[in-house]
Amino acid sequence: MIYPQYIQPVSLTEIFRKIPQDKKIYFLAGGTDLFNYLRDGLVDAENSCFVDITLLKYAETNGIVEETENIKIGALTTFSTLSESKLLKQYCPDLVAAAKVLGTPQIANRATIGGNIANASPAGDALPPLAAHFAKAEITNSKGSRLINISDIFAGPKKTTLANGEIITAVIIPKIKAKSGFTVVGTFKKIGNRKSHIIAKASVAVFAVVKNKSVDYISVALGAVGPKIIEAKNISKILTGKEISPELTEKCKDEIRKIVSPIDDFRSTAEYRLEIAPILFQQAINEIINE
Amino acid sequence: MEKSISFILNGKKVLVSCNPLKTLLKTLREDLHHIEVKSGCEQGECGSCTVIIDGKIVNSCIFPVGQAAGKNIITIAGLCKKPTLKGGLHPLQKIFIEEGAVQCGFCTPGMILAAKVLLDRTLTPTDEEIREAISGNLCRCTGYSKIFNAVKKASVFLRNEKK
Repeated sequence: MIYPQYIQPVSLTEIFRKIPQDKKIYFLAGGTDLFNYLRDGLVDAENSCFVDITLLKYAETNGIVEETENIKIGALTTFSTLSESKLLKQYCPDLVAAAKVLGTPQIANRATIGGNIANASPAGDALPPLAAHFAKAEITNSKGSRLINISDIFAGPKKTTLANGEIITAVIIPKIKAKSGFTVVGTFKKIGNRKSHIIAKASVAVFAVVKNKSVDYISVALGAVGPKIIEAKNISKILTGKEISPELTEKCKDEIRKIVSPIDDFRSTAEYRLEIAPILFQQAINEIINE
Repeated sequence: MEKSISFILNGKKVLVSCNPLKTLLKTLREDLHHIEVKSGCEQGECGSCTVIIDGKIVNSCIFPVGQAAGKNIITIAGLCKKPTLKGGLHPLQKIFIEEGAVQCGFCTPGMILAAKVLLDRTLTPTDEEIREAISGNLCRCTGYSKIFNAVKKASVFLRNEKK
């Protein structure tokens, strides 16, 4: 087997000093997607370099930190860690719900939030919750760092807008606080073939601030029903300041049918995805108002 | 590009020289002859290649050996103290045999390691926690009932042993 070039830098500075300029750069963390691409011949091994980033300093790229306005998640944070985070449970219950169902325990121990973004799959489980939170990714290159809206990172299925050699170092999620009497709620629903290892045929993240059925804030994003994650902005307009009712829920489901653009692929059909996406939304709404 | 990589395997320090992007599974089986680590789907789906690395289960088929440097790795062979004697088996191994939780045996190493990590964390797992813990390991023979019963029985055994 021909392997790509491999380097294992210990700091961001070392990355930018060492990455070869003439090769396609793949940052290697948990490898749960990348190793399958390598095995399947989807990586041009001779002209690529795998930059193993698992030895980077913890403070540079790992852990979940509360800041005044935001939650900052290091890109190397694994889904096992996300699913156990009390801080995220408080502010991003939908992201915790997604982390819990990402994959098998073996995969969740390895897969990272940065990798889920970089892989840019429309079915990536962290992506609908991050879109629902209007999260930003911190992108670092040799000149410094900048923040990009999560939704602006995706150029299409498995394609990002990042330049070769640019690395995702963190995810920044703005904190939304509940006003008195209201509660932060959120969940993530997806459907697929094997309970512990579902790659979504369709998925929905719902994040809201509610008091019983009364909605103060709501944000919804859909996965695997279009070339990119879809933000259902009109649902916020339909439900904010209202009581959730069967009529309004139906209106939201119609809106979902309007904004999705599902396709037939090896995992499912466009017809099924169109049918199931509104139902996943319904399930999510039922769950958050019954919490 | 070969590289010398050393790690702790079942309590002993080992040194291999290979490409750091070779999978840990292939390194364990081909270079270190630890064929108790089973090669199944080789795409991180089936869990038969599961090993414990620093207390966590991972699929060794999608783990680059370069990342194993300095790590503590346990395979199913690392659970028994004297592999040739039945008495040396880990309680989980003994109880899997007693309960008939093994048919073809291919998933068993991974299954037991997944169960071990659960029982290291808690000796009073709920039914749901047991199912969740072994959810990354596919078995095509048993229908899982006997495996589930064996893990449950092992939790009771280890709990009583601890008292």
